[in-house]
Amino acid sequence: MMNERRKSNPNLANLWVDAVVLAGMLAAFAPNLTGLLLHEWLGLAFGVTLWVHVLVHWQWIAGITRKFFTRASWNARFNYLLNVAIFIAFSVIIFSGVMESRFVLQTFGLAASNNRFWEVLHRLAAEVTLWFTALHIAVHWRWMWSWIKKLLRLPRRARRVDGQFSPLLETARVEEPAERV
Amino acid sequence: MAKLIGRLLILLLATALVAAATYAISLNSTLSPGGEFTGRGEAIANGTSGDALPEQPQGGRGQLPAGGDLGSARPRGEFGGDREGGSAFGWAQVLKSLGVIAVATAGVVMLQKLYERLRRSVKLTANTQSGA
Repeated sequence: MMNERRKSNPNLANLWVDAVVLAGMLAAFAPNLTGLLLHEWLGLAFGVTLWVHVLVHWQWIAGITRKFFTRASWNARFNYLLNVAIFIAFSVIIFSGVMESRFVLQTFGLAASNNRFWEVLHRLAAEVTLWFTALHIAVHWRWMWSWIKKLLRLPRRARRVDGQFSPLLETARVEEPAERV
Repeated sequence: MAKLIGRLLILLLATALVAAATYAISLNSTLSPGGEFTGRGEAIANGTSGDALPEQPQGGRGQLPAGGDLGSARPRGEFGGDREGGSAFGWAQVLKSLGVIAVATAGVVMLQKLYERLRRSVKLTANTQSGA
């Protein structure tokens, strides 16, 4: 029983990975804060964390891919297409960023392209990606909020039962045993 | 381990496909001055000395050529060629990103609450009618 308690919760691990990805994204989207040098390297590192995020959720991706045209719910299909759009957008950001980079390419003895197309594409893709990612976070807000509440030990609200508050639920203590992180 | 490598290869392939498509679009883009990606590596492979760098815009590194669409006064990109950051504008960018996330989340939450309320009222109406 003690061993079961100490087993790490995969949802918690997911939350931490997601938090790191979000923090990386916020930093990468603020080049005036980090400076160009850090922005370029952070962008590449963020690409790696993005891959980790995709790998963590691989089973879901594979599952929906298999039944996209058959048994998948509309909600799942919407989520899937949104995630594909985000993946494409981030790939475009990273590739266009590399093509116009100054410091990263210099490290490998290469010079950046003199093509303004990459600069325009990089900025446009960043805007589009920001909105797609915001939608992605918004769609999963319930899962995130429930886990944040658990971590912060916030009390759960009494749930309605047939349109009325249940006194049982209202008075019941909803304290969960402390989880080891 | 083999599964992980397989998944990584799939991710790599997907990313490469997107990159290739983007590069193909760049070749046909009206923004392209006809200059493609070149570097010392390619120059060396072509047998030249590799010292001749691609044409750099006037005014030093990181600045648009004069007469660029974004105005000659504006430096290349929105970073101004600044190696080090820490400006207040940087924090504004972070706040902007968080604001966009907040707006999107608020929108989705509102839509979900509206949908749940609508569904509940339809259910109550159906129950009332069946009860009567």
